[in-house]
Amino acid sequence: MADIILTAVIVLIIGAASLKMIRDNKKGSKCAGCPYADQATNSCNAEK
Amino acid sequence: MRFALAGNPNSGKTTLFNAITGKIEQVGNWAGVTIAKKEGDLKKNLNPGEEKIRIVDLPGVYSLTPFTSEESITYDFVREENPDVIINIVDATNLSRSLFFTTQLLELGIPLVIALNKGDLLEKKGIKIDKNLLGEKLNVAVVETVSTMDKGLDKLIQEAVSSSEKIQKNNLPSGLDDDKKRFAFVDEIVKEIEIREIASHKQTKQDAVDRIVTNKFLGIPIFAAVIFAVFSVSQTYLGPLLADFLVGWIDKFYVYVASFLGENASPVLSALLLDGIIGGVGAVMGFLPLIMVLFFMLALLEDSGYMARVAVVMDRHLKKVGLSGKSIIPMIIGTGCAIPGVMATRTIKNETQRRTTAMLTPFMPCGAKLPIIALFAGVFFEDAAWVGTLMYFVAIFIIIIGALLVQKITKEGPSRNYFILELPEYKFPSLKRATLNMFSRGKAFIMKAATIILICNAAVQIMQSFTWNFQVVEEGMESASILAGISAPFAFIFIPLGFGVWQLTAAAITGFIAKENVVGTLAVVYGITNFIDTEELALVSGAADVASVMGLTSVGALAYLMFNLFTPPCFAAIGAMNAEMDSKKWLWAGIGFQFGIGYTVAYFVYQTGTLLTTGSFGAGAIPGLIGVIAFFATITYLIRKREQEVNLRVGEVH
Repeated sequence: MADIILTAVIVLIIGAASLKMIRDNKKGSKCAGCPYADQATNSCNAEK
Repeated sequence: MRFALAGNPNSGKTTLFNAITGKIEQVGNWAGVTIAKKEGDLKKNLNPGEEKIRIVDLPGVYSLTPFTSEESITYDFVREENPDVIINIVDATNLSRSLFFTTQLLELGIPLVIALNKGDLLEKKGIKIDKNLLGEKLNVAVVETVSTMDKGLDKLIQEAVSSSEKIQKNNLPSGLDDDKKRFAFVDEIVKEIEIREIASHKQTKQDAVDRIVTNKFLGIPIFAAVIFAVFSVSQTYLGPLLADFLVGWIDKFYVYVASFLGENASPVLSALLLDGIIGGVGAVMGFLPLIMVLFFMLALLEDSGYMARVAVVMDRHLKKVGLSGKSIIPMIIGTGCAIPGVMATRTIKNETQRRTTAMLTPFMPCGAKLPIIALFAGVFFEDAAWVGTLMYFVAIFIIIIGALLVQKITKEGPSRNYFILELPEYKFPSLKRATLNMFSRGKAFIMKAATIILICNAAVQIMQSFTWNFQVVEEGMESASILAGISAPFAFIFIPLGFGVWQLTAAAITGFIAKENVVGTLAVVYGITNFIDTEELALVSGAADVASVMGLTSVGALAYLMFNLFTPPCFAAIGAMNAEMDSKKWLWAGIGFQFGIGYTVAYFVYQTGTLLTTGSFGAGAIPGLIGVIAFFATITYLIRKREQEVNLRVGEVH
C-alpha cells in the first residue's frame, strides 16, 4: 500500500512538472527552454 | 483601441510601457533591449473611458527607413497596422535627434501625441523647453512625462484618447524627402523652443568619470574589479549566509519525508523521491540565494549606467577582430540567457558578423551556468570570488580568439561599422527595480528547478537504479547501471582533461539539456543531498569530502568547470543559433567550434596545472594533445582552403 501511494506521489510530481513544461512550450515562446530569458531582454516572442 | 509607443532607442519606451500597463518587461540602458513588439492592456486606473485600450511597445528606431529586422517591425506596424494613436516618446534631453523621427511619423497622418520624456533630467542639464511652442510648431499635443517616476502619465493617456477622434494634420513644409532638409527643419524648430544654459562642449563630472571608466588601459581592470566585487558579495559573504537558511529547510524536509517513508516503502521508490527528486532539486535550489544576490547586484550595475560603459570598453576590442560594434549587446544579454542573446544578433546587418556573433555569444556564462560556478568555486577554491571573475574573462578571451579565427576563415575584413551608443546618465540605481528583477529571476530559477531539472534528476535516478536488464542495481554496483552504460563510453575522451569517470561524464551530458543539471546530476550520482553547510555558514559543507567523493583535483575541477561552461550551451540555445544563423553549415561549424574550444581549454588547464602542481603531466596527455592538434589542423585547413579560393578568384580577374 505504501508503495502504491509513493508511486502515485512521484507520478503526480513528475506529471505536474511535465504538464507545466508542455504548457510553456505551447505558448510558442522562443525562449521556452530558458526562464531567465524574459528577464534578460524582450525578444522571446520575436518573429523572424 | 490600440496605441503604439514609438521613439528612438533608449528614449524610455519600455519603462513607459511598464508604467501604463503594469507589466514587467525588461528595460535596459542601451539600444536593442526591445527587438520585438510587446503588447499589454492599459491599466484601468489610467483609462478615462470604458473601451479597452491595447498598448503596443515597438522597438526603438531613429527613422522610418528600416535597416535591420527589428527596425522593420516598427516600420511595418506604423505603416500597415494602422494604430489609433501613436504615442511618440521623445527624449527631452536630445530633441534634435528625436524630432527627426517625429516629423516622419507626422507624415503618416495617424493621430500623434508627443510624450516629452526624461523631463527630470532637463533641470540637471540646464535645458529649458517651450513645449507649448513645440506643440504649435508641429500641430500635436505635447505632454511632459517622467516614466521612471510615473509622472504625466494620466495626462498623456487623456491626450491620446482625445487625439484618437481627431484627424491628424501637420504643419510640415514640403520637400522633406531629403534627409538634410529634414534635419535642417528640425534644427530650426529646436533653436526656437530650446534654451541650453550649459554649453554642450563643457566637460561635466560624468564626462570626467567616463574618461577613467572607459579608458583604453583602465577600462578592463575596472570591469574586472567590479565583477570580482559582485562575486565576492554574492558568493562569499551575503549569498552563503542566506543560502544557509534555505538549505536548513530543505534538509529538514528531506529528513521529514525520509522518516515518514520509514522502512516500509520500496528502496527504489524511496531513492527516487528522496535522492532523485528532493535531493537533486534541493541541491540546485540551495544556490538560489546566491543567484538572487548576484542578479540583484547585476541589476544595480545596469541601472547605474555602468554596463553601457562596459559595452564601450569591449567594443574597441571586438571591432579589431572583425566583429560588429553591435556584437557586444547580444553578449551582454547572453550573460542573462544565451537564447535572447543569440536572438539579439539580428540587429547586426552584416551576415557573417551576425552568424559569428551568434556562434560566440553562448560562451558568455549565462544564468544557468552560475550554480556550476558557485559549486566548483565553493568546493575546490574556498568560495574564491576570482573563479567567477576568471570565467567571464576567459569567455571574453575565447570570443576574441574565436572571432579572429572566423575572420581568417571567412576572409572578412576588419569591421567598418560604427557602434553608436548613447551613454546614459550615471544615477543611483533603483532598489525597487533591482529587487523586482531579482525576484523575477529567482522565480524563473525555481520554475526551472521544479520542471526540467526535476524531470532530469528523476530520469538520472531511475537510470542509476536499474541495469539494462531492468534489474535493481545493488549498492556499490552503480557502474552496472543504465546511466553508467550510457556515460562510460564517452568517459575515456575526458581522461586527458582529468575527469574520465562516468559520473562526471553523465553530469556533463545532462548539462546539454539545462546547465543546472550538472549540479543536480552530481548530487544524484554521488548521493550528496546538499552542497551548503548548515553548521558553519560556509558555502559547501566538508568541501574536502565532497572533492574526494568526486575524485577530482583542484586543477581537474577547474578543467571540468571550464569544459561545462565553454562547450555548446543547452539544446534550446542551439535551437536559437539554428534560427538566427539560418545555415546548417554555420550551425554545425559553430557546435564543432564550441566543442573544440571547450575541450582545448580544459585540456590545457588540466595538463598545465597538473605539470605545475605535481611536476609531471596528467593521464592521457598524448592522446589529448592529438585531439587538440586535430582540432587546430581542421581550422588551419579551412583557413588555407579559403586563401586558395580567394587567390583563385584574384587570378581569374587578372
